[in-house]
Amino acid sequence: MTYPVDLFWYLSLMLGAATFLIRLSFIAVMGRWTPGESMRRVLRFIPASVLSAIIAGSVVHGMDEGGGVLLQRVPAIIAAFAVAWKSRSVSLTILFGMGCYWLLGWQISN
Amino acid sequence: MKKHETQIVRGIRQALPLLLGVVPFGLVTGAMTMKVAAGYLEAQGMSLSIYAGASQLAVLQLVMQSAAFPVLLFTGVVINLRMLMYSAYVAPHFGHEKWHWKAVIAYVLTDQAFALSVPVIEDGLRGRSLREFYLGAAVTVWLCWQLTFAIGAQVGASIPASWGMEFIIPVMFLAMVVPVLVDRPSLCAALSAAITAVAFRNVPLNLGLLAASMVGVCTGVALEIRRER
Repeated sequence: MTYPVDLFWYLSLMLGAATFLIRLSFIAVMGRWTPGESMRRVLRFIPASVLSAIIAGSVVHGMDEGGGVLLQRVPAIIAAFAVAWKSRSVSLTILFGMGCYWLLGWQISN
Repeated sequence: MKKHETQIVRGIRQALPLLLGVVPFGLVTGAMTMKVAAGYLEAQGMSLSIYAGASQLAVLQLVMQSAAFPVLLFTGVVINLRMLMYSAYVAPHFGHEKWHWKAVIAYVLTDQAFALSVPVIEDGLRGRSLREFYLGAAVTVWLCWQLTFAIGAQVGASIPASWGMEFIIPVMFLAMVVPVLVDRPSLCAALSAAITAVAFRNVPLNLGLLAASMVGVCTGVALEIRRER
């Protein structure tokens, strides 16, 4: 699916500007103010939480309309998790995750 | 002058090993962006403007799931909030720079640029030498990202839809999230966020994602506070 061109540019420029301001924030105020303990805590858990929610959400996306989600994507993501946990390698994780996904897809369609 | 050249070269040299992780990420993000962008110009424009792979991929995934525009924007911003920590860390050392340098330094501030500058800052590198080292390293990462993104975008446009390449986004995120699961609070944060996301999968506008993220963060913070008592 293609996203509407105008919305795509709004998204790019708005997220770009926001991200730039995040990066500039403390550099701009010369580090006169630094984040406190509670802010550090919240920031620490953001990547793990948001990324996990996106992973889970995208794996089960379309589950209620059928489409072999549980048979293909769920086992593939579990296999990828095992490889990531053991190897900590981005390339190996992609290789095994996608390999498993394609193998299962091929098996289901045959 | 010779000394300054060395710091730039040293920055470039130290950035090279990290490019191994940047290359597949750039290729995948470039290819995936072409799945939703109207053309190459839009795709590369997004990458130049945002220059933050994880948020770019997250936004693409949510576009494919037909999420509402504010949800896309908000999620992208939240994922990049971690950079506040990087900005706070380097700020005392770059705060005295002129505005144009501050802008460039901020624009190329990434996970990799931060990771590369920590050891040299702890080692006592300061002033112009530090700026040159930092820019040598950070601009190398930037170049590698934009180049591999461009290659990925060219190649990705010709990948057949029947391959289901979209699945590479959650797999890629998995490779990124596993290394940050270093203790019980972070593990529980990830797990509770994932379970909530599945439970709330049918909430309109993908708002379930935001709820799940909040559940994850609250779980992590609560467990950490309890552990410290």
